[in-house]
Amino acid sequence: MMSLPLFVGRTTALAAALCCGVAQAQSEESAFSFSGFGTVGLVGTNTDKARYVIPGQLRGGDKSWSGEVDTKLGLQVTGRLNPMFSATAQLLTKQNSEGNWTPELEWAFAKAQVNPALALRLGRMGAPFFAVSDFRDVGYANTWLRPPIDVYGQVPVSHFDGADALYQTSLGSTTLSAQVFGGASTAHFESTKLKLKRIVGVNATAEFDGGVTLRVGHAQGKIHLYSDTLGALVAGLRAVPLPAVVGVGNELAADGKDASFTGIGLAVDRGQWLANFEYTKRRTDAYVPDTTGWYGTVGLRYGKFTPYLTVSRLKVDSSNVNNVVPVGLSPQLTALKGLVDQAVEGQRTEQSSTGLGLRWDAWRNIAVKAQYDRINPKGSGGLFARTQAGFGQDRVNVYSLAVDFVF
Amino acid sequence: MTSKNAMNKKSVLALALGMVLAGGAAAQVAVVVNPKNPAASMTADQVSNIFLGKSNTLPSGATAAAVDQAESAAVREQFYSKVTGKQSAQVKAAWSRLVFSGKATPPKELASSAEVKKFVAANPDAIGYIEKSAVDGSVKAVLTVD
Repeated sequence: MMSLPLFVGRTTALAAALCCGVAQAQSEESAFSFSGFGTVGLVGTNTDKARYVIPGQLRGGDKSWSGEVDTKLGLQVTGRLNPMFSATAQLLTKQNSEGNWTPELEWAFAKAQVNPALALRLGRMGAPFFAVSDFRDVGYANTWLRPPIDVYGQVPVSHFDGADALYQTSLGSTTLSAQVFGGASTAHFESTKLKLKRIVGVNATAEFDGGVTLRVGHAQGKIHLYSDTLGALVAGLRAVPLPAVVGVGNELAADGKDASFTGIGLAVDRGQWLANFEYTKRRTDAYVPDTTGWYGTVGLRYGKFTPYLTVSRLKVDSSNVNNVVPVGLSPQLTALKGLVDQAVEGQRTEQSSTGLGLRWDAWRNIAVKAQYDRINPKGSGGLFARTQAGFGQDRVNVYSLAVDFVF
Repeated sequence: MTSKNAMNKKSVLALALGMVLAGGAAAQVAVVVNPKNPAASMTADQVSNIFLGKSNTLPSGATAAAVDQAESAAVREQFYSKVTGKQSAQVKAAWSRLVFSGKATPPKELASSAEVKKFVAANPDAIGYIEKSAVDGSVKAVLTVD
């Protein structure tokens, strides 16, 4: 994990690199390039028993529409020192998982393009867990109103601090690219601090003739959750002089346990047709459950209009906790068993969704989107926040509107 | 300003007419490189890969310095629809994917075909596109599309 002073030092070094870029590149044109993206979005549902959120967020839409789920603004600057060295920083503001809109430094990396095929990066950069990880927040770059949360909601980490190597080559008409990366990340999920340490991963894509792209990715690391409630429960279980109960505490704990995420993806962009598919698996040795998430999207371009259909599913494969705390021995143990059940139930994020949407390329750099999702939470709280008793039995209709722009 | 707008409207109208007449009225577009570039010709795929950010190398192996025309230029719309087969919104979305993943920066935009010629003539690794009628000895055409 990178310490704060180290990170500040690194940021300062980047700033220095950017400054030198100006001084050095006076003869060259455009040493800096600025760009930005943003979304103004509204979400509403047909229930008041839960809030529709992008997993991790605290506030979202119910029967009252919310503008806090999809609305965001990103600013990016790239400074070029020479053809080999450049530095990029991206500032992003959106409703973050601590419930505020404080702009965050999403990226700050220095890049060395060693040769046309190989690039090395150091700093803070996008974590490539998914097919569209890097631009999951750039609405304009995607067909959907937002990446399907049944898949993208599995990992709340969007960037990491570390290094990566990107290699790109052509084999006939096929473009192959491979990325290896390593580092650590700090994120929040509904205000709970979460760290992934010792992340290592690979990400490979092959772009074939005819607009077909295939991707495989795998990442693993150590998961640390900084939750007082969880910590107290684990400590309580570990203090009981019964090996079985201590074992339950050990199963729940998220204090450096192994975690991994694996995904395959297929994208087709051919003439009027586009299709996207991803199949992903999350595995942990803690109370964060093992899950499988997938989606399939098909869209058809009619001039400036692209209607699309997405079907997706998030399934809990294993809660990773076998609650063998005995009942009837003591009221305290019975209470502990109940708390373990609650903790496990809170993580049961089953749901399946069908979404129908329309993208309208209204202007050069503006897309207007509308999307209707019908979500079946399968008797659980699904990916909804602040669920109340009785939620989960009925399907939920989610209505979203968004205007995406880039500049 | 007024005359420019009128020009734009005219070119939009010409483009629309061109589309109605199945391209019959649209001018030819030439992809041009520096005369020192060893490539005698390039395929639409090779050119398309450079302008869509899928590749940054010329057939010679050198890193390409690609230049675009202004977004309002009729020749730009024609170039992308004929060479890459994509609409301008698709091209914009493709570039936003690259830019906002920090992988590439889009070709520099120049104001006119004269500017493109000047840039290509001065830079051995340059590649751009202009109306075929604007091609002269300062640049070399490696691909022409109707």
